[in-house]
Amino acid sequence: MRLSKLSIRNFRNFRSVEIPLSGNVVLLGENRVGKSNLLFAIRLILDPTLPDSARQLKLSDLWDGAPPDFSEAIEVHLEIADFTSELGLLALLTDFRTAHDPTIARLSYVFRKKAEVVGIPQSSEDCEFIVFGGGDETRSVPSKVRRRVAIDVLDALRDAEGQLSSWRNSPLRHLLEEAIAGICRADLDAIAAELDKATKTLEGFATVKALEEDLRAGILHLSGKAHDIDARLRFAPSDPLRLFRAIAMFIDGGKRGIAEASLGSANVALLALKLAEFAWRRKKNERNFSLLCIEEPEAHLHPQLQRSVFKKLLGGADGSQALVVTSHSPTLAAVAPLRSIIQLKTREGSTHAFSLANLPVTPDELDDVETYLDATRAELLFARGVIFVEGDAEEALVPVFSSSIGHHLDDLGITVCNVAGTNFGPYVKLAEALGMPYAVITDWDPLDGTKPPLGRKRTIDLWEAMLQVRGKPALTPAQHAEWNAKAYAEFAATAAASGIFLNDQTFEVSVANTPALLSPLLDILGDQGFGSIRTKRIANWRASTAPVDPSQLLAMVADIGKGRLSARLAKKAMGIGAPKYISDAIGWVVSRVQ
Amino acid sequence: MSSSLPLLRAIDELSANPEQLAAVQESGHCVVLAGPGSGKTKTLTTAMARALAEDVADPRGVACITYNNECAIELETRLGRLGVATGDRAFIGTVHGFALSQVIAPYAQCVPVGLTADFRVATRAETRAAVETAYAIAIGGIDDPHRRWSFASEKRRRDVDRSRPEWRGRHPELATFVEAYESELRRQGLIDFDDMPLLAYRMIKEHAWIRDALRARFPVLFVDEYQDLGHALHELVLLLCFGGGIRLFAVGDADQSIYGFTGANPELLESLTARRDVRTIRLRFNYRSGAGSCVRPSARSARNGTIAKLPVRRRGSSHSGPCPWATTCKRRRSQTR
Repeated sequence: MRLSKLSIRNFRNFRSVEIPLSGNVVLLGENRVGKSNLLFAIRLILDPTLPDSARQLKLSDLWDGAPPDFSEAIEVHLEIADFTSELGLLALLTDFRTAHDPTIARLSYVFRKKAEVVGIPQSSEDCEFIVFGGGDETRSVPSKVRRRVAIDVLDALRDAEGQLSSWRNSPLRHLLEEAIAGICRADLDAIAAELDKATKTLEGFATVKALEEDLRAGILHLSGKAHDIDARLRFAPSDPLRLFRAIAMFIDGGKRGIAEASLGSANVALLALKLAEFAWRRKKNERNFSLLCIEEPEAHLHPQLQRSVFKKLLGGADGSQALVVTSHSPTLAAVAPLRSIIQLKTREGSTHAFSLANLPVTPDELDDVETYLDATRAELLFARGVIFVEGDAEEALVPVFSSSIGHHLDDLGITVCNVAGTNFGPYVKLAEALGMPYAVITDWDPLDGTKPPLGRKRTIDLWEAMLQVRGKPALTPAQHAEWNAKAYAEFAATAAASGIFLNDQTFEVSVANTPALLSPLLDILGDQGFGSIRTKRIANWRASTAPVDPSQLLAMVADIGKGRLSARLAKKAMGIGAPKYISDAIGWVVSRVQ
Repeated sequence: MSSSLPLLRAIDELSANPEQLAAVQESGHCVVLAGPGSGKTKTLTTAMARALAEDVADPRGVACITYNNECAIELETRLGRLGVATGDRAFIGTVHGFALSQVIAPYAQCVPVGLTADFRVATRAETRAAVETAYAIAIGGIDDPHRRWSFASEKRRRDVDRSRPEWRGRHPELATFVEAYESELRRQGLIDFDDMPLLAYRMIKEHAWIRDALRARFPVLFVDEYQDLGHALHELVLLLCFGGGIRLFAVGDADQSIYGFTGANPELLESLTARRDVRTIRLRFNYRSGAGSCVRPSARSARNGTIAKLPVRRRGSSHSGPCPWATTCKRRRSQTR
């Protein structure tokens, strides 16, 4: 099974969110945006250890903007898909199918005003909670469902040592109990005898004996004879059946206990043990599905270790367990499957969720975007705005142009994303789905004029991509015909109004056509030591006796190399201006992130 | 899976009776033919407890369809003594209860069967009114609508699968009458008792996923008093057990037809015993199990020869309810404690 959708209404930070989910979930967002509250919302439905007193929320848990008379209830709905292939899950969840789609089961939590209470509730007592399934209040969810489709919350990875060293909470406990149960009693007795012998030897040393007697006398003195606890110093309990409680995990070839491991290593060990415990519970038929929630699992982990741990944890699709993690780690986000990512952002007093679970991209496009995010350490996911460009030249120069017109992209949290080509589609879909302000800077690419300019189809395709992510109908054939017939000027103006900024030729030509930039450009070309014809052409362009010829310019640029040219131009162009369509694009994004 | 001590003891007790033991341990489709006093209830409950302990893993369970609620309570009590808490993994109830709680209530909102979200069961007055309305629409004339309805109602119970040619082929005017009656009930958001297994049958037949869901929840279906449960139950069994992968354990007494008990359909049970994929086990008359068996009053009055041998006879019972003998069973048990 997998969790397919989470809806939250009027709960703490959330006014109303519907979050599509896809297997594992990685929750990103700034502090106080409500990541932990989202986890708690899931616990309200699934957590078997959450007492009713915790399910009975407080009045203050109502979203601040909701009517205080509770005319709108607090609601959490969790939808579950793909539960029919495992017969146990099917038996558990089949009663809770939704009316609109019987392949989806739905579990709900509602906290509402009691029917008999009029006006504004005075205390939590005036409200009640119900947990039900299938969208039908009368269909209660038996505790067995929560026991078998259970959530585990590891909120204290900071205290991995504590969890590992306490017998009662240790995930090692059940595994050890099972392993020891496989040993016959005679063998256990033999070990106990050996340990007893070792203990006797230990007690044989005068200093140890003296210490033990001192301690015993101290305890006896305090507790009195009637309550004496008969304390002893031992390697292990003498009862063979309790022997295994003394078994602990050691690291570094047995030299040190796990409590002495670094915090990070203890975390990894705890995670591994938790997963082993889940597998064991499934095998013992105690559970059919485990949802493991971890807050900031990256704590204390070196980035390299994060990469290997989370790639394995988040990458594996498993019908019997899923992970929900909250994170601030670009390293974790970079290796997370794209569809697992959910970003929470505060907008106008409530938290909005942006999920990539149903991002409408092909598997190839998904691969491209994931590779890009991995290579750039998920910078895009943490940015406040993004400018998409075609290549290295724009990537190098757009930040320079921005500074020139007074905007420092780094300070603003705006990132420049080089898509290395013109396949903007998947990236634009990503930015749309994340609700992130973005602009596309691209060339009109008129070629030799005999064919339609490439920029036209590129732009129309991007419009289709935006409509798809926004859930709007696609352009009609008539609209396609209309936009295919429009002249450049009108087309570019409309494109700019949608965040797509076109020049009328190519990037380099537009730089040459920007008066302030022409002189440094020609300086660089002049330094190349071209032959006499080109040198003369450059002189004519500088003297404005002839307009810059795009094809000649591009031939020269090709000889220098676009990358080298832009690197040199970046040094000279600082503070002197930007091509208009680029400054428009920068302004578009800047105005939207501020 | 481990079996509880009471269950192991119960199986041990059965080992003196090879037929009972064979039935309890059967892992395929099984029909148990059992006359009065043969220990059939004991066999049934032990087989259920054994299936829950050994064949079916939590959270899956078993369902047992019985003749009426008294019989269901009786079975629950006896299962309790075998260490089985019903309700959690075992459904025990009538065919109407099964249809309503396991099929119609959870799934009617998912599939188009013409039920509103807040449908309810019609009162007797409401069904009578619907019969009269439907009669006016479908038949007309001056006869007594209710007299005619008794024939229509019989057809309705017998022709469970209306996609078969018999539905329209035989007495088409009654089919129209039934349909008019049902649509009159639906118009008011009502169903009647006969609707329950019929609707469930149609839903299961038309939606394979409902069949799969029932199999997931109840991989074994037990049926008590098979001969008394009618065509709808029989068709459900054919659909679920012989078309849907659920194992059948049916208990019945084909001979009971000769007692003239109304509504008995021995031929349905016999058709199961004729199947090659069904093992038929006949329980022998058994003095020792008499303390636990449900004895039918009709059997007592009709077959004095056999009944006279029963170890414990109770007083003559009132025949007002559909299953007065269930009370008899309980009374007897409390005395043997």
